Amino acid sequence: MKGRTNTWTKVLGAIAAAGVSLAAQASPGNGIRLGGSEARLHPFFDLETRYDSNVTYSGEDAVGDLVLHFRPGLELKAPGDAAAFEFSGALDWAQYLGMNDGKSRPIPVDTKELSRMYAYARLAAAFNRNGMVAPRVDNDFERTVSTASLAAVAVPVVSNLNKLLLAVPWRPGGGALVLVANGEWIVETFEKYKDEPPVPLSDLAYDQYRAGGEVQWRFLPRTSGVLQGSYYRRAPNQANQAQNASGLDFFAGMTGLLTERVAATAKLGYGSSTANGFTTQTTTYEAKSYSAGLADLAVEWLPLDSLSLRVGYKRSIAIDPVLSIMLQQGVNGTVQLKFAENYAFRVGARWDSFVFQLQDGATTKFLTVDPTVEAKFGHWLSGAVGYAYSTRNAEWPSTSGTSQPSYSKNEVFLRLGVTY
Amino acid sequence: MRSHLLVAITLALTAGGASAQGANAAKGDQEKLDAAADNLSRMKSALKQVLGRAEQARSDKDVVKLNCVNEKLTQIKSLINVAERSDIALHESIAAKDAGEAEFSKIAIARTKVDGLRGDAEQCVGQLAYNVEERTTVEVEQPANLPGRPLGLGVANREYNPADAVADIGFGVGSDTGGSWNRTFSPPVIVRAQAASPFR
Repeated sequence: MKGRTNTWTKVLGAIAAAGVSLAAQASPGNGIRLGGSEARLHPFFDLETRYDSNVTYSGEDAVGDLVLHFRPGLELKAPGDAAAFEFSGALDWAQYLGMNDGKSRPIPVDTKELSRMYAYARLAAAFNRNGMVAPRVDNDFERTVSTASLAAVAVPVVSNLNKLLLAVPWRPGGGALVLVANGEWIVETFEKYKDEPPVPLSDLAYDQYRAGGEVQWRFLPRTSGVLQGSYYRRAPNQANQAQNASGLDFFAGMTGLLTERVAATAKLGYGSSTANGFTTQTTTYEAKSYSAGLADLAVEWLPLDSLSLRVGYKRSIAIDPVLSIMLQQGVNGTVQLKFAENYAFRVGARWDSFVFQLQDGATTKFLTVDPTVEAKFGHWLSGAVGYAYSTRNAEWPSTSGTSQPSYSKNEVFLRLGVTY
Repeated sequence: MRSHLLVAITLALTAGGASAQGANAAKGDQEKLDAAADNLSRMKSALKQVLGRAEQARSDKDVVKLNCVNEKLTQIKSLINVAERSDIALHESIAAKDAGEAEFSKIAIARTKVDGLRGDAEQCVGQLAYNVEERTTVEVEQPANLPGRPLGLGVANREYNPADAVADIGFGVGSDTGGSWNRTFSPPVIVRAQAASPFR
């Protein structure tokens, strides 16, 4: 163990030295210009050291470990009126150092086995931006650890989520009125993180389609009234799955600036979802429809140019891959403070609740608090240091014969980034 | 053209300086030097602000606004040149036990004019004015706290300073995508919990 630690210390030192020397050589340039165009490519590399007190998401006998994240990535910006493109993507190798491997525990753990590749890629393309019809396409891919994707079985999984969005706004007249047709296609698959859930992960993959429309009326330069509606359908890859469901939702309200220093979103709506019946190993669930009022409320206040306060509440209907329809409610707040020109202190807190509608008394609650200090020096060097406390608390009816473990974890991280 | 402008400004300042002499007669030498330095500093600060306006107009690709701001900018630069020369002359006058009232007044008047030009430049940018029935003028001014970062597609953000983003109130509201669908200021819902390896 001692020898391994020394080896890792050397590796860390070498990486830090390489990073510093790379940073020292990099000129504070503005990326790599592509051909004679205005497009610029920005390669970047982030190194993050994170201590996680509970890498196994366990309720008892939590195992802590130090995790190194190596994130090489690219950003591309190609502005233009006829067509504009932006891309941001990175690979993220998470190396668990196995600090507590071999120590006496009820169940031996080898956290180094949790090391794997994560990634994200976001692409946006906008066309004819100053025209009457200005289509925009977005594609977001993310591979990450998720504890909320399969909230009903309370098992953290590796989620591969791809979301394709298409919006076609039409601005008749001067542009105060905007009519938008939009569509969304989501594909999500799951892989094991540490423990196998009680249902085969390969059966839980799904596609979700959504089609909708929106009317915006911009009655002030940055304030709009909105009316939104959409229909969605969740199609599981396997038959007889819980998530074979569809639904409708509508919102009406306003969003934008109320004064120079106060912004708000106030949208209220109604949603309805219908799930087909399905059978698990122990239970048969009948088809069910569920309707509820929806809300999307937020206020942001900028009392000083260097201080921002934001609080919000959202209530929506969602589909869990294992237990179908759930009502989501979330409250969140953020305080941001700029200091010493290049530093930003942020503390965010959020509480979320999932109430499963096909299983009476089944709820899952999440709480996260994460203060962070971020800084950027010139165009090329950035850093962040932060802490995050997160907890999950599940309540499950005793009659179901299953228990849903809760967990809490503390994380501390230091991140350095170099962008060319 | 530029030299004519300079001559005109110098003549104007000299004429103005004569009338201002009386008011400044009582000032001590050190006070004059301090006040002149303060005036120069404020003029340079105004120059910086107007340069920012010009940059904003350039990034907006608004030629009309850019021309308007550049016109003010040229005059401000010339006034600062004159004021700097007067500052040197003021130092020399005081060193030679001369009052240097004319030079001091030139700097003070230059500052007044620069302040006026800065105000004019503000009117060039962020102003939407139109007439109703040829009599009533309605002016709609955009909020001072528009987002500090350029309006891209919101995907590639590493070049932005997170400290500057603190003041980005309501960023995304009424975005040019036409769809509040994915750019609206809205509290995010935690569809998925905090990732073990959250990206920035």
